[in-house]
Amino acid sequence: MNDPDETAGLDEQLELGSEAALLVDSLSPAEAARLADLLQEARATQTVDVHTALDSMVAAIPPGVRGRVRKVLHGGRR
Amino acid sequence: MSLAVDSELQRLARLLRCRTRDLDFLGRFAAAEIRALRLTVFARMYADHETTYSRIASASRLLPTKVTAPLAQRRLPARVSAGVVASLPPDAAAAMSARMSADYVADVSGFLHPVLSAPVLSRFPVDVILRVAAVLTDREDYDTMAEVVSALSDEQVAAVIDAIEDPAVLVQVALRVTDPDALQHLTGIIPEARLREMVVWARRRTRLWPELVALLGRLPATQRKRLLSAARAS
Repeated sequence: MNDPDETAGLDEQLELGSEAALLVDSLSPAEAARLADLLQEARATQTVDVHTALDSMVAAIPPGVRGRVRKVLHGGRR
Repeated sequence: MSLAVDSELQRLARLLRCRTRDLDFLGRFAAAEIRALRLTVFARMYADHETTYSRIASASRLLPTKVTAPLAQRRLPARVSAGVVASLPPDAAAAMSARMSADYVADVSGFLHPVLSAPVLSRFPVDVILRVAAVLTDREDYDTMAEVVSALSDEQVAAVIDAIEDPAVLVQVALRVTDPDALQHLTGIIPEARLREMVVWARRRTRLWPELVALLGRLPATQRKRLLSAARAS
């Protein structure tokens, strides 16, 4: 039986539907931890990519509308 | 390991930016279970940046499509673009796709959520879909082709089937469809003559023939009969 503490990483990151929950419950603690690590790494990398893309996009926008676009991209701030 | 399971592992590995062999421990599960896990992971990763994707979509409306399409292509990695797609008004996304290279749209297709992106993809002009399908066929990226089937309209799927001359490609795609509704959608549209070509081709492949037979079990009775009749006629 799996130790609930070991699979907490995945449970915390995912709202598991029934089919996915069955799979996750069948994983060994080591497998669940490995999957949680992979997911955490992928999420962190995606966050970096999104922020980098935003900066890159703003820099490439024509100066006349850059301020308005930047304001929308930052949710009305700036 | 079946092609469907292998395909799901490849899609999950792409999503998690890891090697497929890092996920070998999931190979003992059914394709449907891995798919459910993948879509849950997808939803989590989309939710992380949903607000930002939505803001990028809003900002794109401040500029004409002839500016935003090349800008997005140059500045947004395919993974980020795929996130933005679901937040774009479908007609705007379709107009942008027509101004982007087929290679870029093919890249983005590999990261689209099949459910979230369906309202958008189904509005893409057929000629864009055909150009992207040609790129994916050249790349032998059957995993992506099989995954987007559920998001395309009957007209788009029929056009792609018509454009793909090689029955091997149709078999490779069909065997990688893991969404039961998408499989039904695809096999329901493939004309009888093409089904027969697919059966003839698969019969000569000892590895793929059992996969095609197993696929029968995933089809509703009416379509199973159709495929069996194609097999008998071939």
